[in-house]
Amino acid sequence: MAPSSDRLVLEDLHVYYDAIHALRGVSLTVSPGEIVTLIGANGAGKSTLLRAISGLVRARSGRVAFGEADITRAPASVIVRRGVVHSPEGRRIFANMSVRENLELGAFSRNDKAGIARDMEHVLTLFPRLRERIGQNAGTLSGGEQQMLAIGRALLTRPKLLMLDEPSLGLAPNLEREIFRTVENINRESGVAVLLVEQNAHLALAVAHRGYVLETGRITLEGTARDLQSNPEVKKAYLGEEGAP
Amino acid sequence: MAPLLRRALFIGGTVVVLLVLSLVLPQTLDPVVFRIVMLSGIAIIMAVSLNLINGFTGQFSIGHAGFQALGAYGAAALTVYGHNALFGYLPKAGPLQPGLAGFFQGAPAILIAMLASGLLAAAVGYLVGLPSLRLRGDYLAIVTLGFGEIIRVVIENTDVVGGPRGFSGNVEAGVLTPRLTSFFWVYLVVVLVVVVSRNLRFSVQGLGFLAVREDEIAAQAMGVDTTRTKVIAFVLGAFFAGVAGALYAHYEFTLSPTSFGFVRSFDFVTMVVLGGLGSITGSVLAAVLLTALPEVLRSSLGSVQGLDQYRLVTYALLLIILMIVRPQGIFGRGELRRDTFFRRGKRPPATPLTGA
Repeated sequence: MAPSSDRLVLEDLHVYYDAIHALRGVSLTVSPGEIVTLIGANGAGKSTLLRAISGLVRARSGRVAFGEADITRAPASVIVRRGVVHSPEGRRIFANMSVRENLELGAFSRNDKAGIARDMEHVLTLFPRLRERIGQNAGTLSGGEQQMLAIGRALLTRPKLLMLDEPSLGLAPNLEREIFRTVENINRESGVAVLLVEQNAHLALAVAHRGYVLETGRITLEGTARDLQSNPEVKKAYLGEEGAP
Repeated sequence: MAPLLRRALFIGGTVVVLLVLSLVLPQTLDPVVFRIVMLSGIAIIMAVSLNLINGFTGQFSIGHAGFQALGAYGAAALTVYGHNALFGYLPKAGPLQPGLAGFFQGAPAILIAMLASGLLAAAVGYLVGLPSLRLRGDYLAIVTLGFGEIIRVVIENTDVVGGPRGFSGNVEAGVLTPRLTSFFWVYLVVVLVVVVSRNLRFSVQGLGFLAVREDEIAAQAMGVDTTRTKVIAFVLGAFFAGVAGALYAHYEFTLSPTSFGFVRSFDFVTMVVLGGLGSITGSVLAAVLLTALPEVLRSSLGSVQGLDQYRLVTYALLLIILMIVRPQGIFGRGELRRDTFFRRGKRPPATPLTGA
């Protein structure tokens, strides 16, 4: 997976669902090699933000740029080919297809056979459980394995920026940590930038370099992960540490 | 064997076998049975091509007979009204020359008719499909249902193709729809549509089709252009339905707008669902079954006085029972492949994947 010099820049992004103003002017950046987390309550617009970046929903105004390219109005299939890849909420693996076919679909937009084989091997080394179940229907995997598959599938697109939406959703605590360690490893080894949406702010801020707090469609706070961890408002609202010693 | 040689052998072998059968079968088979064989072939083309849309990409098109109607009337109008200009070497009425001579006599005309009607149906399919396939959900069902009915109504009100009376040729000029469709052409297209479907199913491109069926959002997130994929499936399906129409027109000689109504469209949907959504083998089998079954019931029930009137009831009952017993369709999503026979239950070993 290629490290790159492409930076994601969002400028004053507005997204509407009919009359609902879901994103009210969001600006943020993700630099190459960074892990950036987006924390916020349910319905704050975190998933909408990822969907707007990856082209699954259209922004009404504002701008999304990746490197030199303006991708605000680009179709999702083009955005993937530029290296901005979204692993959507709820894993959304192809349940009736084998693990192998799921991974092959990750490489759908690519033509470099040798590169695909190398990345396939890399993913299977990263997630040995997937290798064991390569011929199995993806629907028969456990929740943790499905999340590994979702991440593996996204890695096979050869992302420069990987956007993960709630990768810990519904996982046992030890699995949560395992997934996050893997995300950290991927970022460290291959320099893939990561934009991480997560309910579990503890874990997210532990692996991220920087973070943004999203509240009802607006960014209300931003800073390094360390600053956010010690910010009293973040502590109170997202880390549940009010009154803690 | 070199793949190119294998392909050449496959094509050559298919053509020879079909040609021999085409000369022998009409002479040897009972006319009623031969008719079922021919109609089954046309039904296979319809079912397998609809399976590309409804089975592979998971859309819900219920106007497939409309495309067949378009192809049938388009092709018949072409060979009848183009008789003087293009097909003067064909008899104005009556059968072609017997045997191989007749085959060569009719070949150029049926080829042109099939291609023209396929392209016509594909072009209309593009226009009909594009706006509704951009959207998710049931819009396609509504649009294709409407399309099928519109085609029928337009034909009923178009006098040059006979209107509600049906179309059997330009009677004043004495040019009737030529009898071009032989076993060879029907089953050549059957082989073609099956091979195209099969190659698509087991290619990376085809994986994209199935991904659209499974989860459109996830498919999009993996870089599959979902609109393009659905449009390709739809246009390809419409093309083959148009070709099936051309074959039908030059087999039946008399076309009637009512034979392409939405009931007919539902027949094809039934075939695809009964065979197993997405299964090519299933579509083929169900097409033959549902074409032959009413005829078999007619002759078996008809032999007992008064039972014939229960034919359609029996047909419906059999369908209901089959769907209760196997709701996923006869073949589910599986295919009949070579290893189904030779290594039953044992799947070919996966490519060895050694640890790092």
